Amino acid sequence: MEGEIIVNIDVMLAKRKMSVTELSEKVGITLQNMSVLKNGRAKAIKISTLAKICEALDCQPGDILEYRPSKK
Amino acid sequence: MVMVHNFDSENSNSKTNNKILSFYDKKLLILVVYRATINHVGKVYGGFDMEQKGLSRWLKFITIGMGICGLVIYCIVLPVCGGDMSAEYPEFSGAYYPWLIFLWITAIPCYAVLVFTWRISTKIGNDNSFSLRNAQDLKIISVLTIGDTLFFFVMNIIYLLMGISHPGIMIASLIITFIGISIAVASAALSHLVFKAAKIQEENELTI
Repeated sequence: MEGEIIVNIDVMLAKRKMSVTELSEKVGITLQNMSVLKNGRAKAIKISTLAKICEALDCQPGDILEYRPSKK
Repeated sequence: MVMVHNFDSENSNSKTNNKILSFYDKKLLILVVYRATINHVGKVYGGFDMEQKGLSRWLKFITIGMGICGLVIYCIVLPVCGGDMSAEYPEFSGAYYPWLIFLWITAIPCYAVLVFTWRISTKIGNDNSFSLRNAQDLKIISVLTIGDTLFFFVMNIIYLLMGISHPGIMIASLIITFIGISIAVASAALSHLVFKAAKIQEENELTI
């Protein structure tokens, strides 16, 4: 069974002293969708959305994306 | 060389052309008025939501209509016609109640199908056409229809063997069986398509 990709936005939000609401406004997605992303319920993320998040948080994709292998 | 203008043929051609043009002009006018009406109503009531709500209302109207027709047939037409036939042909009076009860039993899955159709219509009205629930309901409709059809077909054969039926009725029942199988297959196909569409929609909604 494949592992999962975790989106760690909280750490970068704390570093940049930004709220989730501010980030969602900057990226142009709803708070609900941001919540879906944070909670790992998202099935896919557009490259453009990832680019906007990285631009808003001034970070690299690797700073917010983490791969966790499945527990066998 | 003398050139002769055939004014009559020219005139008749132009008259024909005018008739053709006016025919298409009328069609175009009707189309433009129809689109303008839909757009205006759409702006007032919210675009495609109006068409979807309208579709839902129509489906519910048809469901209610079919329910009422079914009630009339099963509660009035069948008992009255069966009673008249058994009075006219006393030798078949013994077949009246077996047939009536059998046909009433076949009505139960039909009304169950109408309930599920109502549920699907409500979901369509709530802009939730492609859902796993709808796919499941369509599958249940397919199963109910095929079960009812098989029951109808088997009982017809049994009644024919018991001597309380007629080969003509058996042939008519084959047509009803074919219609039932067609509805079941169409419903199963629709269930599969709605399931696929629901999966695509879910994936789309969860794509950030």
